[in-house]
Amino acid sequence: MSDLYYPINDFGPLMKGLAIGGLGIVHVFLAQFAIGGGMLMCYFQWLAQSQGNQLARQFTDGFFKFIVLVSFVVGAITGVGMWFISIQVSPRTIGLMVHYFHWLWAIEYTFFFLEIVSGYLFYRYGPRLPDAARMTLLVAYSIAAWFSLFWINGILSWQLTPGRWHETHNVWDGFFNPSFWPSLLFRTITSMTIAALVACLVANVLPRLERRQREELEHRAARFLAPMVLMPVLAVWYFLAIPHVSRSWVLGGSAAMSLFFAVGTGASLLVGSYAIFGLLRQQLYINWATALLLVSLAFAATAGGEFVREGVRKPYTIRRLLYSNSVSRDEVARLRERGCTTDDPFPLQDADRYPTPQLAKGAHVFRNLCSVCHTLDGANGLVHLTGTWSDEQLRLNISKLQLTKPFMPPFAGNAEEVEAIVQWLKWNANGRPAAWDASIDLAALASIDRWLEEAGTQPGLGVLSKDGS
Amino acid sequence: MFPLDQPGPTAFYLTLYLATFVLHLLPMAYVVAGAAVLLVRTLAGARPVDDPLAEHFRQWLPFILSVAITAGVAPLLFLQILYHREFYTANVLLFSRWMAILPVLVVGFYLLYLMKGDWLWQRPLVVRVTAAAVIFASFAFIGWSWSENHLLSTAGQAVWTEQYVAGRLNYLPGELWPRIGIWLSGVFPVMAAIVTWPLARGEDNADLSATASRLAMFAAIGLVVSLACIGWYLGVLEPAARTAVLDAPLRVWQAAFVVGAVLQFAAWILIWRAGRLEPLPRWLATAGALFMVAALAVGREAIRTSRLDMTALLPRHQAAAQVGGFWLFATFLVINFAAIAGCVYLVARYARPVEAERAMDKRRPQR
Repeated sequence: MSDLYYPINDFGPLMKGLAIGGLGIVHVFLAQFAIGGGMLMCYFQWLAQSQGNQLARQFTDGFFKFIVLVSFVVGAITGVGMWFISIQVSPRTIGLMVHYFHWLWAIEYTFFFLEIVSGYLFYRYGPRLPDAARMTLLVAYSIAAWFSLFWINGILSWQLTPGRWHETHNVWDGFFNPSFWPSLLFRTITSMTIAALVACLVANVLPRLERRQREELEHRAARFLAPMVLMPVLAVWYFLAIPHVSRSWVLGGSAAMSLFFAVGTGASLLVGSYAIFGLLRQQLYINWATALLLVSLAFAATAGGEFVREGVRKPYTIRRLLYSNSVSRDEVARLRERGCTTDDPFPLQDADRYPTPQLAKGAHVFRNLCSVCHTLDGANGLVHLTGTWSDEQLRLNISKLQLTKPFMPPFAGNAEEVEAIVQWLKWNANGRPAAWDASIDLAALASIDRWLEEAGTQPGLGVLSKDGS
Repeated sequence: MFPLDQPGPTAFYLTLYLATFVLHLLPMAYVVAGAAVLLVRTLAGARPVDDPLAEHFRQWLPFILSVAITAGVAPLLFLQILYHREFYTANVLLFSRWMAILPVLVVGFYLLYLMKGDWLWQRPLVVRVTAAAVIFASFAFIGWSWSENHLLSTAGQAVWTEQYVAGRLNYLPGELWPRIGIWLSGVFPVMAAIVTWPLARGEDNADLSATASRLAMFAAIGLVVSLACIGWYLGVLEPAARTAVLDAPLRVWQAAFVVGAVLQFAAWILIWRAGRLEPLPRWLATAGALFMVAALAVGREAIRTSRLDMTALLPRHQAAAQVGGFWLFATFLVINFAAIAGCVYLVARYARPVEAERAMDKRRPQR
């Protein structure tokens, strides 16, 4: 049995990308908070032992409890959740990632262990330990947390920029791919930023502190915001490292991605400006409300950035290997012959609600090829996207899908399936009437065949590399 | 001997899977049984200050749950190498019912932290019992879900298709119940063996003889019930799977199982009679629990492999074995576990007793 076919669930009006993106953003934010938090605690511990700063020591213990409660629990579980929801959305994608990088994931697992043991020991015994031992535990925690970022960053950035991996299939060519370093450095600074902002919030809510103590803590933590000045440079480096077509989605080629890019950039600029001019230069005091607002902006920046990172891979989930609908490049030609529904061992769950077998086939095609990114009439709904198209336009645009919109994959089915999904879209757009005539227009099928032939089985304009690969 | 009788790459990943799975089962057993004991003791009106067992679980369950989750990452990884299509299909088929384990785990986790603090213990008994019951129910639900997922993953395409068309979000074959019985009872002797070590350090505690007897009772009842459930399970298994468990390649594991059970019974009888947690019975109980857990994990895997076409899976295992990175993993495994040992040593060597810390706090200048 081919591993092309898995059961596919209907997420209703919720786009699958929103489900995985929503959880992913929460997880990334919390994980980066834990990474930056470890570094920040090392700094405060250093203040405590080199300058005898008892306030820094006290804050380290209070802040670390916060890290443990938030990141050890929700962070760890959303991490496992990412794995499970990735399986729900695209088993083939996660399967390939595990297949090619399982030893790197296994290495990350050893760092997870070090992270939770050193972290928990500090949480439980930190207040009863001498300074040198406290620092050792914090350094161990920070190194482990940062290395978990190091390993996962290589695997995730490989999805967009596999680099020489396609030629060599060497794990290190895939891991140290073109966007690895800018992405790693950018995320490291993001982690420091999030930790500093959360520290400002925690400094405001910790009990029994006077105003001047809160101010001192904030200004110490704000030093971790200074590296934000490097973010624009790293962002440019990252954008130069990704494929030119992915850049074009962000810079106007796709309205949604441009919008999220603008949200991420705008929120980062606001946080950065306030950090540099307000906190570092003017030494302003921020109360809990302002701190919360800045943390929320950082969350918005993370959300925008993660959406863009996921989105710019289109039409692939793994560049040049697997399309977003989990069909590999090699399989498109065969599916054009066989059809994408013919060998599927998982039939439609509600086949008898369709007036004709053709409409049921159309629903099946939608489920197999489209439902990973589109809903019927909810988020990114096909009925809305195609509502103004004529029958001929529907047939032409779907047959030449990768030319209609270059961030779409080529249609991976045969002419009958194109016609079936065209009819299914029309039936839905017409309010799903109880009676519907099956389309048996041989001339239309011949046109579809010709258009499929003309479009070919390769990805769309601009998606191919210069060498045609 | 299973799993070494499998072709090279399959045996390699099966061995890694089983080794890491056993490492996950130990803290998992501690958490599930610990949550059950915490519930029973809370229901009996015990307050942690008066009850070493309840106090121990109150303090340590959150951390050990973190360990259990983290230890689950490696077997989850190797599981996907070994049976990716089967595992993914079962995940997707159970859909929201399966994904529910995540919020449930968050609820259980935070309630454990609530139990750890003082706030909850100042609330009425009904609130404390409800919290303890929800914690236990959360972990029981997760275990149940895993059992369903596991069984569905071995059920084959015909069942998957039928399950999918029906839109069912649960899978309740007859063998599910004895499996859950084995799991839910088998965690008690494992938990009891683990918990003897930290409890023994507080042997001067007046309540320890009662605690030792309670532990012996939990362990013995767990052992007896799990043995009964194993008999029940063997009775409902299809002949091929039963043969796989009772066949020659598993002789060593069958012996380990029997030795493990005998060692544990002997250990708990000694502990119950002495009312103390002496080193010898502690070692016997621990070794016995380890033997039994390993044997059960191997038996579970033998049942799975008897249901799947392992020959068809071999090419994928072979391809996975060609992927680089193993030696770096082995290196970091050693380095990071040495670092963990170093961290534990630091704490054991330098952590001041609580009383000394309180005295120091009084002397510190307040800023």
